[in-house]
Amino acid sequence: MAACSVKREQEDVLIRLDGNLTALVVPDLQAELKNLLTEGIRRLTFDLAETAMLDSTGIGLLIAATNTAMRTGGELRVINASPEIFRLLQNMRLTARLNVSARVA
Amino acid sequence: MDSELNVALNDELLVEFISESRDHLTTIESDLLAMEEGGSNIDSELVNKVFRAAHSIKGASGYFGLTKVKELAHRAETVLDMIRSGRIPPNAEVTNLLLCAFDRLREMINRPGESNGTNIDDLVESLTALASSFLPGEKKSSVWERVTLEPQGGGAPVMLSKFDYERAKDAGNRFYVVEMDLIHDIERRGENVLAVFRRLFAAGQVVDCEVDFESVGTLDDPICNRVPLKLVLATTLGPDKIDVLFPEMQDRVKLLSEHSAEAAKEGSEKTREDSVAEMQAVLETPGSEVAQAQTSHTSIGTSRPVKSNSTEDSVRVNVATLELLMNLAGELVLGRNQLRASIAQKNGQALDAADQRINQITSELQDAVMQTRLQPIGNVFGKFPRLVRDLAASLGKEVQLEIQGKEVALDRSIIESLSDPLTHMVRNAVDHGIEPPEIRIRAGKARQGVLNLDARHEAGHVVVEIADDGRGLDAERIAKSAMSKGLVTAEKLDRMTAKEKMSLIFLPGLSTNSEVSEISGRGVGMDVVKTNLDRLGGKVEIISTVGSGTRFRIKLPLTLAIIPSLIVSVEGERFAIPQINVEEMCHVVPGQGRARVETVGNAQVLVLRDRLIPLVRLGEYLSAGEISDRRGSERDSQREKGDASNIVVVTTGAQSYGLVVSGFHDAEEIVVKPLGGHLKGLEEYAGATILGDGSLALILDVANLAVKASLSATGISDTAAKIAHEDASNDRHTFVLFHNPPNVLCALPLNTVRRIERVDAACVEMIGGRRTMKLDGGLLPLATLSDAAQVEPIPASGELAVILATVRGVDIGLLGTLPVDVVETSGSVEHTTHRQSGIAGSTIIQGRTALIVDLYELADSLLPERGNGRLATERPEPGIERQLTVLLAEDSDFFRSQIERFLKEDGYAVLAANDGEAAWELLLRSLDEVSAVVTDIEMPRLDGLGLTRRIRADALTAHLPVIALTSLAADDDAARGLAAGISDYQTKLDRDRLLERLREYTHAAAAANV
Repeated sequence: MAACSVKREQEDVLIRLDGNLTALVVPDLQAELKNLLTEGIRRLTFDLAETAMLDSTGIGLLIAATNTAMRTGGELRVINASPEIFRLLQNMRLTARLNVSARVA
Repeated sequence: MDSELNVALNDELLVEFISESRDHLTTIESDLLAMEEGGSNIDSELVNKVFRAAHSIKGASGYFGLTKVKELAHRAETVLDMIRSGRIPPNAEVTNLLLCAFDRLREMINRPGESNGTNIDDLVESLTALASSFLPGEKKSSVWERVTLEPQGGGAPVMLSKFDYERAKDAGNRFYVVEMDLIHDIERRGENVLAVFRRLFAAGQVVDCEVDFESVGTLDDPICNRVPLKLVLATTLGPDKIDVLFPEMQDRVKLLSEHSAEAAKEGSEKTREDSVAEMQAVLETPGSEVAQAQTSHTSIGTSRPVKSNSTEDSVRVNVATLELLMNLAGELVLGRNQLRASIAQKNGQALDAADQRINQITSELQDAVMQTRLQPIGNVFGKFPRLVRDLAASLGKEVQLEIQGKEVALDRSIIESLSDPLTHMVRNAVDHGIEPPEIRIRAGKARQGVLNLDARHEAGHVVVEIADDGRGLDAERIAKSAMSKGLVTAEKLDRMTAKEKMSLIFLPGLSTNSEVSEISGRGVGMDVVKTNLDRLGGKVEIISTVGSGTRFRIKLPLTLAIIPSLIVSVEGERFAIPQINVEEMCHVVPGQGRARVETVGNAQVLVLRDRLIPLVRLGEYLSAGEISDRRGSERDSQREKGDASNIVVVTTGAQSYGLVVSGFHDAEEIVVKPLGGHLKGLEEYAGATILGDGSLALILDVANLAVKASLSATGISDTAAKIAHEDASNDRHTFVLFHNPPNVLCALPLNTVRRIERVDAACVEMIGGRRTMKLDGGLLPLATLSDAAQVEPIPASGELAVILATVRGVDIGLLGTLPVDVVETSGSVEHTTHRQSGIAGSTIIQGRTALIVDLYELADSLLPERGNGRLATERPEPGIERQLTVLLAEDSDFFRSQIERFLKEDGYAVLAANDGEAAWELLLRSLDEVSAVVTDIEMPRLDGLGLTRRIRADALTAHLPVIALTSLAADDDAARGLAAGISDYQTKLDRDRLLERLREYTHAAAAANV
């Protein structure tokens, strides 16, 4: 099981990560996401409230999920990004494409 | 912005944003005014600066969801952009509108939580209207223009927003394009993407970035193993150093150069949108602004002089300074190596060389570090053009502001605290100093007044001058006004120079009077200015000529971080006293020289050239613990012997006192280090420092030490004042002095006074023939000396002093006029010449006769029913009482006569003696008569305790009640007294309690005898 909790409400899914989004958890998470998206989920929300670390594989996963969602007509959001993660994604010009919003203290 | 992204006020980033925006806003004002002044001759750098400020506020506010801020900043930015491209002239109308917009922005930024509720429609509308009225058909601006850059060594060209490009280029940046893969080039090399970008942010600014989404694939693909991206980095690093950021990727990093001078214009709406998004993204990055500011300073520091007010904040350190620091750190390492080598070789000569080297490097390092704390005073001056412009306009005056020495740098803490006082003085100069045009013309002056602000270095200090060519200060008028307010005596005025008289405007009482400020030209809140400057260690001087202007000269230290200090030692420990607090040092040897230490009660004072300076024995004060136990006896004996003392007379600005220390050492320049958290509570220390020999010294906070040692602001130690009455040898009294008009000096013993209030005479109500005023929610009955005695009545207007006292359990207020003072005097009290109802007698204070007020008589005349009621119900049968005789032992003439008088008034016969020995003799002679003893404790020859012991030891007298009088009933005194056999303790001058207790004892005794 992935290191996250999944809260489902009709077509919306809130994925709250228990910790960092890194290569360690990506394989499990990817499998989980794949299942969800094939089940007709339209809106995927990643909650990074507990996430301090994001690595290249993690970014890859977010992009891959976005790509998948686009293809299936769904939508992906990332919320509660830490200031550092938000700044990283912002500089990579990804905040708009990945729908990222920052953490509110 | 997402709705979840509401304003979080405690967000660190937000705090940073606010402070950064404020920085921007402070300089914007003067820049806008400079733009207006320049007219069509547009300084593009200036406009760019304001534009960037609006831009960064817009970007960051968007990030925080401050939509209104963002919108207004956006509109302002549009107009600024049009000014930059010469499409709107920066005339007064446009400048005013922009000033208003930035004012509103400031308001909103200061209260971010409420900003979204702020109405900005008016401004938005005006700005939009302004922009559209000047907008030509095609909606293009340089903001949307793009430049094409070509990678060196081939590759696809890179397009950037011209705005971003030029901005970064102006700051001396180079551009690099980097193509890499997040997985292969970062993760697989054991690096973390966050860390890599952190490096990039530190070194420069990511001006563009493109992630190849396609290559990443979807969730259906195996775990992603490619995240290719192409980013454009702007950095000052040269091509030879860029590897540092991208190790082992040399082939993928390429320097960009401009394709052609001609900017490629992209007209399509779509590209424009993209570039907006991009630009926003850059500007929304809070860090990029910082990086940018840093790099721009590099270029300023190395190549260009500072032109406009820079947005410099000392947190942002000039990179050149950083490099210098780095160099010096390197030098220091070399020095250390040299030192270690010479120590290892025991080579004395090499050791000397190393010592010299380290010494030199340290001085340089100190200078360099100091540089990082320095800020140009222009940061404060920057707001004055607007202030002066607006104020002059509102007052109908014409004022030209001239500013010199903006670049003069001062420690940031000083700069921050300087803002308020300077603002005050500039405001005053425009408001009161400079005359309206017609008056100026009549006086033969130019229509336009000139206000000159000047900062410059002078002998290790910074001098700031605020000079106007207005009406000047009239020293005599100020002096008269100060005297009429009772702030200074005529006698004192006679000895004052014109300059000293002008300095009277810094007195608190004077400056609150608006009338005075109109007559003399100044004075509103100047005391606050003085206080603030005092706190900074600054000195103000006034140079003024009536009719031709006023010049305020402020002298400030460069920094508060390194301060010259006097090192003293106390019981083997060393302490530093900031030089600025040191008034003088004295070595007092008893019997030699004129300075001497006197004992007042158990407190000591230094008598120095007619001044009475309270003393704090630092050793005793600081070592309450074991040290004092260990050394206490030694010290006591030393003190009793009256050994020579080393005294540092220190000043807090408001008061002076003496610190008794064991020894003086060198004066040293010390580096102030804050105290650790566990010592933070110790307010008597301002910090700590490490001395030349490596030992630690605490820095004394002279003002807080005074508070902790409970020295009162009147300059007389509280303790000394409280027990002054018990003084055995000098018979000193402390009086509260006030006036009863027109010129009657009145005195009230300090210990009868509870507190002193200043009130306006209008607060005094006269109802039913009685004066009262509202105080603390109740009605306070008021008495004046004229109620009982033959003196002039108190004036019905102006400021009065109310001296609060409790008489017979009732609070009453005694009205007097200012000034109120507290003095200590050893003059004798004369009980006959001036004696009348309400006046107990007189004494000579400072060469003038002062009437000593008898509060009890005043209270009786004020509330006769109370006094009479007591007499009627409480006074015992005269038949018993008249037989009773009280023996009174009291060394102070004043108290003895006071007590004797009221004892007699209450029907006792009194035998009075001026010490214990005399009282004992008197008692033995009149054993049959005496039915009670009232005695002071502290007396020469035989004190009250000794007297009591004798009384208790003798069978003939053992039965007598002994009531002891003290000024202050301390618990341990009471315990000692009880052990000696004292029956009761009473406070001196609490007549009612004393009489009551005396009646109880004598009554009981009389009853027992019957």
